[in-house]
Amino acid sequence: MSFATLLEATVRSSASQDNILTDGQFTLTYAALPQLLAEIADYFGRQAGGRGGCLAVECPNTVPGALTLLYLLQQEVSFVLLPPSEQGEQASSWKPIPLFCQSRLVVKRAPAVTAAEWLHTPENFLLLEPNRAQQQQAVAPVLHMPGYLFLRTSGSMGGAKLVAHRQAKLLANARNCVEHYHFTSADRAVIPVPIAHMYGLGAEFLPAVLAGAALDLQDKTNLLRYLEREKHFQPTIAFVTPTICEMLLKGFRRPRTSYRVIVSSGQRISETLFRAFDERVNGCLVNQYGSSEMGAIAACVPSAAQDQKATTIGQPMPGVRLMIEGRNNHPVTAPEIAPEIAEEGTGELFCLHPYGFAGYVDEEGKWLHQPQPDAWYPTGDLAKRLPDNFIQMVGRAGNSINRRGYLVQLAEIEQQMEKIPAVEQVVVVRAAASTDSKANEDEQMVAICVVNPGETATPAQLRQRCFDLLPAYAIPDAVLIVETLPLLPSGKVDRQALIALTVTRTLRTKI
Amino acid sequence: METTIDQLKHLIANELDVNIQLAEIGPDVPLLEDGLGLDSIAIVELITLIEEKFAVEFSEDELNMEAFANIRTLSQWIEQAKTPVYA
Repeated sequence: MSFATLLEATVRSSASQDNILTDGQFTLTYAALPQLLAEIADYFGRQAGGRGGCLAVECPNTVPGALTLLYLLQQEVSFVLLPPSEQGEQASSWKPIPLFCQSRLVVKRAPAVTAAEWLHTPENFLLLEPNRAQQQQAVAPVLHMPGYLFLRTSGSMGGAKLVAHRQAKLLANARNCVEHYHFTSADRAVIPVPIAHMYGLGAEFLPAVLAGAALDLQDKTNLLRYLEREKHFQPTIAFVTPTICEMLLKGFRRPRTSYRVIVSSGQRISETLFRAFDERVNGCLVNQYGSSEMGAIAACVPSAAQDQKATTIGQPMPGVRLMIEGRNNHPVTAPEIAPEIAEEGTGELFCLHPYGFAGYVDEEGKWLHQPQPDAWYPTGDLAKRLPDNFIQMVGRAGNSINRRGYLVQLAEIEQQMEKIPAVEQVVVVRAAASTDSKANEDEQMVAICVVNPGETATPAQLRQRCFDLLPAYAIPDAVLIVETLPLLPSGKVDRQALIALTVTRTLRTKI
Repeated sequence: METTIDQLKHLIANELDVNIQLAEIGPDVPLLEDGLGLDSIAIVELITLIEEKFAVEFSEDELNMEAFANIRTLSQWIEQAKTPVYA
């Protein structure tokens, strides 16, 4: 069934038509959607060049943003979904959009106090700009296919590329979430994570709309705003990140029994934080595992035992299969893993997903890679099989280093060093290669640590502690202490920045 | 003795993990977007620091935008929250 049909059903249903979509400034009901979407259709009809080609859409977490997304999906227009530009930027300084996009569509932020009528004139919140770079470079739009959605992705290693999804599969992915989390029209979903990313869009926004649940879109949320909005909206569902969990743990001074499920995803959540926040929210916290490529892959259910929820990724989503490929089965010949570090059943996690991405494209719209249908997809993550076939995530695969003939996984060194009481966070990276390194020398690795507040430690002391926890060949060559770890816009640790740090710090000590 | 307002100014300039100079922090300058621009993480840190330094505790209802509008409103809240000392 098309999104247009599904949306129509939600809008007509007596169970959902009076439910609200709000962003704190504008509030409308599902019943009001058809008229607003028709007005957006008329807006596009009025634009020179009309519709056609692919759009690059900058979309904030607002009602106008949501309306725009619903319109594009209803019409199966292909578009690249981007986060909003910073306020007040001049057109000339806007970040470039992919060359295969005909136009940039900006969903503007509304001025402070505005009447509901404002939404009925799309010119108020939409700005359509032709892609001059495309015209200047005379690049023919390569992609002519309707019904695609593109997302930028920047892994914590490597450069950016675009993930291409067929909209129909994106919707099927969303329906998996409806099924797994039992979204209904009785639910009230607060969305403090960006709907311009796969997580917010595919795991919460679209499932909520498909179920006809009430929606509270929060843009640039902070603790004070969240608490205030929570009082009025009274959410039953929230999709958050570990950072937001920390924030809410600080602010939820009374335990919460009003949520039926809170989902954390985006990065690995520490077991300590998970348990503390789970208790504060009456046991309704779950951890979801997914990616921009695959959408939602696996998650626990709130009723599962806390041990299981705190340490595993729970059950695969409907139709999804998971497999761990041990390194001994890997086609690449690699030296034996040191037995003291390697755990039984640890390997790369592979996923067979019926609703995953169609492939990667570059800025011109050419396919970089298209996965084979029915092929196991390498997640690039390391996982460990626990008793009863539960799966625990360990870290990123491929982050390994050769040391005296052993293949050492950086993630495993991080896990051991996390046990040092003075260490709050640690990331181990391969040191940037220096110009005078010989090809057959051991690679150098550096552990970058954030020290627990209240503790003091020197790099030498931390390195010394490693001798109790790791075999000699797995001990970092250097330890650096930093105040905070640099993060990517996605919230993940910026490993490239840390590798760059290893160069500058080493240079400084040599002077 | 340093006023609460001065103490808060120093807290933000010196102890909060943000790049804000003492001179920028007027008593009526908004703490959020249209003023100092404290983000989500800075606000949580600020709450922790205030509770530690002034030995006070915000109730959930007191964690609101009005109390955190600017340094003046914050200091007013802190003053009334501190345990009264009888001479």
